Amino acid sequence: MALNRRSFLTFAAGGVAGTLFTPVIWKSIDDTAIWTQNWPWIPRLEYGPRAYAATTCKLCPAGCGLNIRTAGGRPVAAEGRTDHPLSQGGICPLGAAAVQLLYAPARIKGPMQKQADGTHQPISWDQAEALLKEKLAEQNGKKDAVVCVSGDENGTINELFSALLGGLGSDGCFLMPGEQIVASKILREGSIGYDLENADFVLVFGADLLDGWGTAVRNKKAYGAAHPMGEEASAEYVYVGPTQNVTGGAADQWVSIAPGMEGVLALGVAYHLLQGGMTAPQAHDFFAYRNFVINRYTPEYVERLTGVAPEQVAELARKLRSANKPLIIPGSTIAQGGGVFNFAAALSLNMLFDNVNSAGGIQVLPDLPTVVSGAKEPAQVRAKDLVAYVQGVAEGKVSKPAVCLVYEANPLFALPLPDVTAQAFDGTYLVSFSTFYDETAAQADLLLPTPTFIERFDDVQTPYGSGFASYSLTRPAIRQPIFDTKPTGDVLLAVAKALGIDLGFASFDKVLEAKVAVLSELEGFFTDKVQPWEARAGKAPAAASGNLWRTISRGAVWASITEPFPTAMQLGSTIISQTAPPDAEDWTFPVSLAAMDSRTYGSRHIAIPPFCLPLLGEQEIQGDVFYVWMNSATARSYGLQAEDRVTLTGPNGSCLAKVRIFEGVGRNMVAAPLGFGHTAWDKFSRNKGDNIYKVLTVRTEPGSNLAVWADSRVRIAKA
Amino acid sequence: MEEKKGGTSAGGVVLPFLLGFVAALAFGWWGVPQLLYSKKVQPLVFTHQNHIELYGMMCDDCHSFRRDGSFAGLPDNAKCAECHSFPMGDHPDEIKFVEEYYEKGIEVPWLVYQYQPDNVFFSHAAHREYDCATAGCHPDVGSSNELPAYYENRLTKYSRDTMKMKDCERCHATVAAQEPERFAGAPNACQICHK
Repeated sequence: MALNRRSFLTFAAGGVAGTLFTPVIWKSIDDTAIWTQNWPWIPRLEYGPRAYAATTCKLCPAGCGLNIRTAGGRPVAAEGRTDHPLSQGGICPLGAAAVQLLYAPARIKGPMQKQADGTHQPISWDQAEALLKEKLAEQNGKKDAVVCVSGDENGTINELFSALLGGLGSDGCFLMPGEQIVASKILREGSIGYDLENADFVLVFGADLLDGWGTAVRNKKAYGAAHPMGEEASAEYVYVGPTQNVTGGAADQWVSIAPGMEGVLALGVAYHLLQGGMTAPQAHDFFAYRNFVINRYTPEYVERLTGVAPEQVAELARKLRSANKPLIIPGSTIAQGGGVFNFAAALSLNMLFDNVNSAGGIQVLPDLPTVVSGAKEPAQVRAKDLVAYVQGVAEGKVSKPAVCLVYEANPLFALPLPDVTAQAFDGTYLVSFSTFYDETAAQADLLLPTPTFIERFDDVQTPYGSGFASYSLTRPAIRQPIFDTKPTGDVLLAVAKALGIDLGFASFDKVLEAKVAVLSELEGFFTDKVQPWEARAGKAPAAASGNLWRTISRGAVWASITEPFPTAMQLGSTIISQTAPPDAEDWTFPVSLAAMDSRTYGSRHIAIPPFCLPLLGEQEIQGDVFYVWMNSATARSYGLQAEDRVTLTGPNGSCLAKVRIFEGVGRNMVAAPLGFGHTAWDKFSRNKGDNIYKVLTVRTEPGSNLAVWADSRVRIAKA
Repeated sequence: MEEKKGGTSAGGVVLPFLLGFVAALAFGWWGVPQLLYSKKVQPLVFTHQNHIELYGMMCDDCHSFRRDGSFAGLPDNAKCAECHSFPMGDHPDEIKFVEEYYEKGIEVPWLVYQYQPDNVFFSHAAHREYDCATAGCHPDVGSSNELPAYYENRLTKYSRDTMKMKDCERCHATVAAQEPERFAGAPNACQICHK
């Protein structure tokens, strides 16, 4: 055989034919396809040993227990903790997004300073702390030149802020507004809790118990336990409020009432109770209260103000009287901005049933002792009214602060009238400790990002609304913080030291250790075998013992049901009569604005997490326009239909929205969600809807001088 | 009649064809695998046989399910160090484990014959009813004295022993059909594995 062209071609043909009988072609195609799945820039899963870290959530004040699941030391998911009394295995949408927020694009990656051109440029921590020290040193000794706004209402961090400010000669340590501010006007010491678990009739005025108010997940668990599937409910829930929000929808009865009118209805109910012969002889001011209520809150008057039929009010009173353990919960639908009148009026009903500090009633809960020398008592901090202060600064009645420290709060977005707040702080040296690039951080002169609660040690003391005093810790569930962040407690201690102010601690961890050490001197127990509400009902827990820090830092919850001090019984007749709302119609702003808050929309200092965006239905937001809700009668009277564009105008600002027809909103009211309309943050949270805080209107409540905005009114018009 | 030049016989065509055919077969069946796969050895010598026969250990002493039903897969250093925190004997790999891995806190980079791609969700817990060693899901190394060589596909970087989708599908189709009550919920719908 000679090697010529023909034999070569024949050889090649044989080769091709032979190849068809091998897997080479098919294997190559298959492997090439798989190879394309493994190109180096395609994200890969990271593998590693799995573990859980038990911690406590700091994304809102509810203090739920979270289990952070890690893979290879990297947090991958947040799950509920069945052993935590404030959540009992439940988790809210915001808590579920906790791990995703750790990696959110809106996180600030290190300390930054604002430049002349308005941009933020990275600096080192040494430079940042030196800068803060310098700014504070300039104001040292000047009265109230430095203020702080804290969004963490249950943390020991507030002690460091107030002690540092005290050292500088300032008294301006403020909390972001919340129910505890209003409650502090009634109770000078300690805080008020509600023993939902043991109550058999729960009458809620305003407070969105099952979503954005207080210990929401715990409340849901209590509600769920009282409403077992397929069985008779063991407790009845009645919701008095403007909308069928989560609580209004789930409650056994919903009584529609305009925001701000809750107190009037409560006193309407009190009228029937008093007429029925109920007394509260233990209260010093019973007769004054009785006369005031009987003379003024007659069924006709209450009907005229609230629109609730007298029979319905009488029926509520009858239901309350026939209950064994009735509990009446005051609050506002957005858990902020309510007045003392509504609060005290609803709270006084509890006094009539004499359920203070008893199972199923309201509880007076102690504040844990402070540990930082020079720190103010929590009650003193709660008594300060941030909104009134900001209004005062904006109006020029109060001198503008030179430096404002903002911690885990977003006052330039989440205070009523954010433009007024921005104006009040214009020219103030703004320092943001936020870990997210929020609206306040975007305006701040100095950014000192704190790690998220998954990356740091922190604590949660008795959240507002809880039926028992408690203490738990957050702990790092990740080996290294993701970004160049530093715990604010450590920054404050370092700066205080540089300023020559001795706060008594070398690090924030030591402050927390001292706090835990204080617990051993108090009467308390771990909630592993006996839950606090069981203890309240008579079950005896074993006193907490052993190494408290070791136990609590691994996730145990310390609780106490001890009465902090004998409570002098007062029905609050003086404050109720002084703060009673004027009986006047507002024709300029005829529609009541029922603002809504939900953990789906984030919290006061967290924007809607990307994780929660799919939870927003097409009836909540479409494109970048969000919806406000009204019933069909209200819509008709303003010539509106579903999907129409509408503007809500308050005395100081307006919002654009679309109309959703929902019969679960009372007449002549418009319901609108808070938490939309962010302008900073990241692309996931920005420019979605409009900020309802812009149309909330602050009024000063006569008698209490408290800034109130939960009962705002608006004008609506087709846009 | 014109005479053809050269290679006129039938053998002149058949022979090159056959040669080419055979060469292609040899290349395809023997040569390509040699080129495609690189042979790797495990970082340490490990004998399952000793652990089982000499020390009476059971498979799930190391390859256990956790409380949440997830499969622990390979034991980590901590597990090995329950016995091997000090060298047991003088085998060089024994010393290497203690000195190079355990004491330095580095997990042994064992080569896993069976890792599935990231786009597959596979739960051992869901398959514990089924004996996968005999069904061919992975090599039965339990009684071997040495770990088999690991062949890595140079192109895809996967192990040669990684199961292909068709193997999963075949089992899901046949086993689930045979005993629908026992293997309920094991159809071949995409989202069963790709979630």
